Amino acid sequence: MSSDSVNRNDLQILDRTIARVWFVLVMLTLATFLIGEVGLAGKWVMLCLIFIAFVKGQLIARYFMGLQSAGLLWRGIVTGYFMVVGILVAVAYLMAFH
Amino acid sequence: MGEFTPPPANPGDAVHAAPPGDLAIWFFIFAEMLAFGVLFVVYAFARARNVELFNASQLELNRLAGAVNTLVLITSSFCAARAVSAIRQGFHRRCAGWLIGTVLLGALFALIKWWEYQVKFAAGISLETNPFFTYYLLLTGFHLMHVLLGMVILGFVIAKAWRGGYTQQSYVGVETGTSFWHMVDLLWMVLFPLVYVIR
Repeated sequence: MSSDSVNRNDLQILDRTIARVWFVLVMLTLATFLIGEVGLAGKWVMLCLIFIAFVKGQLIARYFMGLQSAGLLWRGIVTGYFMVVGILVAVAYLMAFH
Repeated sequence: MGEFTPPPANPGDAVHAAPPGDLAIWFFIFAEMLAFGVLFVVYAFARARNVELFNASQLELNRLAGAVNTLVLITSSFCAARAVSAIRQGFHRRCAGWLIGTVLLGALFALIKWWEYQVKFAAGISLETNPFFTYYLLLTGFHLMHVLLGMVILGFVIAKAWRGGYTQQSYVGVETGTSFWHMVDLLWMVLFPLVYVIR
């Protein structure tokens, strides 16, 4: 098998991965929407919604943006960003509950 | 989903291996993410000081439109990722086709957002109505500007891709344009639950 055909095979696998990531993102979006529609609220619901946003961000950064194959430093910046913003938003919402 | 993990070009670069596209766009992306991150946190703390007002005003938003727009952006990002895959396989017209799909979905996003704004403006809601709507209009408006900028950037990439300006060996421009677009998608993943859903 030539390196070109191996590369094309890898890219076809990547295409399938991208499609699966898209499906998971759609499902997570529907979950977020339904939580809002049902009117669920409270600390745990808030934390769950922030966690869903964190997972969606990770999926987009790693598989759509292609950071999965970039250095740990670059992935770390995006992960760190979502963690810092997520924690600060959660703290603000927890303050509101008290 | 983790079945495909391309190894770094040089194993010694495992920590610092550059991200896709022009490195300069990543400094721009991180600067934009930082600016939005500050706005997200400021919104959350502003809400903590006025919970009832924010919760009541949030109910006036069209959550379905927000969710549909989320699906539109996710799908547009999917198209952008497929465009990179297409050019890496040497299909420049197919790459342009996926990018046209990305831009059309971006236009649909902008159209839905514009409709949302029109409904709010017709109901007498403006930047001065209350703090929630100030943040809502500023956050989503600032984001919409990035959607429009992303469409312009991808427009140039499409024109070059269509003419065969990118090849299987040289496609940094495609990666650079799509990286910006994915950032727009990434930010909306926080914006939608924050402004439309979490209460």
